[in-house]
Amino acid sequence: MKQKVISWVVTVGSLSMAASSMAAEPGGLALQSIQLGAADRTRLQHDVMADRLARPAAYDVVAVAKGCRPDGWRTARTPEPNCSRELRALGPAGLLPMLNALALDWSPKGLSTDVGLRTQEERALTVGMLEAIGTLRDTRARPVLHAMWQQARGRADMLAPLGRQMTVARATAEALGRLGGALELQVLQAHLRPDDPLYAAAIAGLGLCKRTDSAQLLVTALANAKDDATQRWIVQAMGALASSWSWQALGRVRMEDGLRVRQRVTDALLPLLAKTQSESRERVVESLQLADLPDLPARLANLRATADATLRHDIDDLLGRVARAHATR
Amino acid sequence: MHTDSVLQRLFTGTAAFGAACLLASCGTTATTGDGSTTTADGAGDDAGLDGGDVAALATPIVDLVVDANRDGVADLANADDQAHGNEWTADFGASYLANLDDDDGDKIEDVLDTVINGSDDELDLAPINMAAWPDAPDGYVGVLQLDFPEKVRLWKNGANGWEIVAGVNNDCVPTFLSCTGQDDTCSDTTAKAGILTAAELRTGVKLAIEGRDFRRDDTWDGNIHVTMWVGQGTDVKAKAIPTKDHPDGKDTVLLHVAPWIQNGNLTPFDEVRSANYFTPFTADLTAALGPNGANVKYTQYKNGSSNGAWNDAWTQDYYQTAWTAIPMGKDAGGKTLIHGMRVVNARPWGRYTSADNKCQAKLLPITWLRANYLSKDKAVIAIYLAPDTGSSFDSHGNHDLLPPYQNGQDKFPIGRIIHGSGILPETHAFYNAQGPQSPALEVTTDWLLVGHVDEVLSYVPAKTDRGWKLLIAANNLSKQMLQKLADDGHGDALLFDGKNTYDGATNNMIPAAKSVTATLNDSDLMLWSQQAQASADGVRQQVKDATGLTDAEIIEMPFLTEEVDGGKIAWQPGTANMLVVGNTMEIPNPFGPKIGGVDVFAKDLQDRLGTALNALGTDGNGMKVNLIDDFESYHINEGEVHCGTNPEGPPQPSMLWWLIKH
Repeated sequence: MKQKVISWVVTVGSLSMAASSMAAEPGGLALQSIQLGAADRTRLQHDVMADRLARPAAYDVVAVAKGCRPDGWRTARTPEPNCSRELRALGPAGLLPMLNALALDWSPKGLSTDVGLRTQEERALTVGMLEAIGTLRDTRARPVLHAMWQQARGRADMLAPLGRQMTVARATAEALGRLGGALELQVLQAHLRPDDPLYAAAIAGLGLCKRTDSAQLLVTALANAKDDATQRWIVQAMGALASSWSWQALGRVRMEDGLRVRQRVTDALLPLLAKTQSESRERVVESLQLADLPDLPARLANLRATADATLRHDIDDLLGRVARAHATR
Repeated sequence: MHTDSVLQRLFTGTAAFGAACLLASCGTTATTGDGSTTTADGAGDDAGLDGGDVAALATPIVDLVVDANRDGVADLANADDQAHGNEWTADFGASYLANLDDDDGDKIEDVLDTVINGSDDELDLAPINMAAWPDAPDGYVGVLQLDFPEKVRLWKNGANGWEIVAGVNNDCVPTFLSCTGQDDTCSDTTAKAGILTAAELRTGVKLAIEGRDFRRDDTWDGNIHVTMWVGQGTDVKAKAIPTKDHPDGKDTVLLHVAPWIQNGNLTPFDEVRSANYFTPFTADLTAALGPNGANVKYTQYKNGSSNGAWNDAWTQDYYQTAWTAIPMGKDAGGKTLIHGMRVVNARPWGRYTSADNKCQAKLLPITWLRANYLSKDKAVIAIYLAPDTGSSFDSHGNHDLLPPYQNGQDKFPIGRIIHGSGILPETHAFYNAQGPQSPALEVTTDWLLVGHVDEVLSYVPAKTDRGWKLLIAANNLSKQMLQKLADDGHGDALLFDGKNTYDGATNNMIPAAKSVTATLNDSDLMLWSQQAQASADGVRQQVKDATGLTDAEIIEMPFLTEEVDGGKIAWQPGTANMLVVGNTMEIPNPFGPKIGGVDVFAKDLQDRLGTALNALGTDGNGMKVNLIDDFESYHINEGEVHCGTNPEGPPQPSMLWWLIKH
């Protein structure tokens, strides 16, 4: 991950000097600050300046996230760097330190000297910050996230999968999706072409964009999916979008939206049950389970009447899952 | 096997002459049992004849027996040993051990040295008895051949005591100990020629098979055939002398390598190991495993890399416990006797403190295990083909054992190996090659951050027809319990009250507490948990399809799940990730919300697991539920109690693996 590190000047009076210095090649872990629009950059710099004066320790925390340092991740159960949990644990207080680290100033501490390992650690830090920022759903993150998304298309390091881990592009898309505004929907939608390098990330982002129009976009994408693997991503994103538990958590005010999304997703997925096999069918089962529409058992019973033995088995499995989810224990 | 004992004299003309190929590696120079050199035609010093001699040939006695009736003795006078020496069935057939323990305590596997290290080591060899031919004339020799000389060593107990008579001596340090993957410390890879002298033919000699390894894959069926010819001069094998019982002039016996039998939760464990790094964890375990609990030995090791210390707290992950054994008859009460050893399987990768020392053999688990575990009746193996391969999936928390079951025609009377996604292909092949506990069942765990089957499944004894029940991660149940608390007006009650988690900086900690209401209103946590429920339900169905378990035999363990880097991991302490020892359960303390001073989640566990409600425990009256505080140690570092512990037990006489068809 390309990075430019500068020394942070911790006084308001020196802001202009710092800004001037950054104009050379200042930047954070994921962006050069110049990639933010001037107004956004200035606003973020001011916010960060004030916040840093009030809570300098939070900035150190981000710079040394334990799970992404070798002395941390080497002792964790899975021997790979990740630090999403600890960055999320910072709560809202972590927002500006993380935006600062991504886009303005990142002074890493304690990362590996080995280039390959350091690349993994930086990827994990970036993903961890994006995951944590996303869950905060704070619009102050919008300029940084959009700037990262804009440059992701041409960044191999943001697109490359690393084992089972998430790409930076996907983490960016998911953070955008969580913001959930019309602007976010628009930029994700712009990449819904199968030949677009950000296609898979955009699908994942839409799965977290809790809007009724996200559902329609995913249904359309599903109809256009050319292969099983693509279909599975989309089905998975549809399940995430339709998650009944997640909509319930948003409260009564979003209940109607949630019901519409769950309905739309269920309508699109039910016919796929009979058309898919094995892993693809399992993804459909899971997403229908997540949508958990009240009339799902009745609709499944209808489908079961004409199903072959394998489909009956899978429908019975799904009916069992739904029943357990609603059982009084 | 039996031959005629009547000495006959025949004139066979040129039948006694010619070149012989005595071993699979034909034409190589080899060493006789007494150390003298011979060629592969088998005519050593004692043979005394060359191809030009013409002698009246005697009909030899060619008779090998093995312990075909599984009573621990290779008995020439036993009709079953004689009749079934060349078969391997559920009813008859001899077996042998891979002799990988270290009976003399020199920290070298017994199979890697060239001596029998006393009576304990001798016990690890499978006997073969050979009938004496008292009238064997000078010039006659016995020739022994192994069909897989690289798999075993054949010993004879002659005038010089135990000596290797056939097989490849091979004292190479195995490749798994070398980071370069090279066998670079061999001093003797000579193939022994399998020659018995005339004097040895006259007295008879005790033989014994020593296994060098387990069956690794389906390229070998696990059988070793030992064949004996007797003759004179050269070309003994090709021109063997017919006898009444052996018209082809040879006798062959078969021995089958004993499999590696994996332990599972229902194994009668006698010891549990863990690191000693975390005080609340070890203190709780000390009580749980002590005389008033599971009553097993509890061994702790320190952090570090010398004097028994080890820099890996994930004790479950860096080795898998198991055993191997062969039958040794029955005691006076009719109880089966066995002899064998514990055999642990090391993970392919170690924990490195920096990139610079990656691939140093001293950091591999097998190195520590050889230094600290290898001993009398305790062996260590590596299944992997190369060090520093594999991934988190190859940690042994991702490898477990379904307890015994039958589902239609599928019978697994001593359990079935179960593992999650992504393990090394050689490991899967090894499991399937063992037989009694295979084919291994693979379930999907790649949706988990760590990716281990022990994060979602466990197994517990029950007084039911099946004898056990399945425990499974249940986000559903946790959400319902929390919702009920909120509905009952306890939304402000705190989960994890008083517990801490990392704040991201060094080891600083911040309070982990979160209210019931805040938890239920966390739409991300709810999404992740519901996704985890769906994925765990998929695993549940895979296990049900394989085993025939009913829902009544599945017990849900409530905890919510979060997501990290695209993978799921327990947000509340993952209570399925527990240790089961006998009728005790060492469960991660859930630190649930307290109502009236009572932890609702802890009470739920006690009520459902610790009473007769679910007929758990061998008496059906419930398990002893021990809550272990792993929150600030294992839980916040991606694991729980099962990850931090590793139980083991001795070979099990009740598990008659040789009777199992597979």
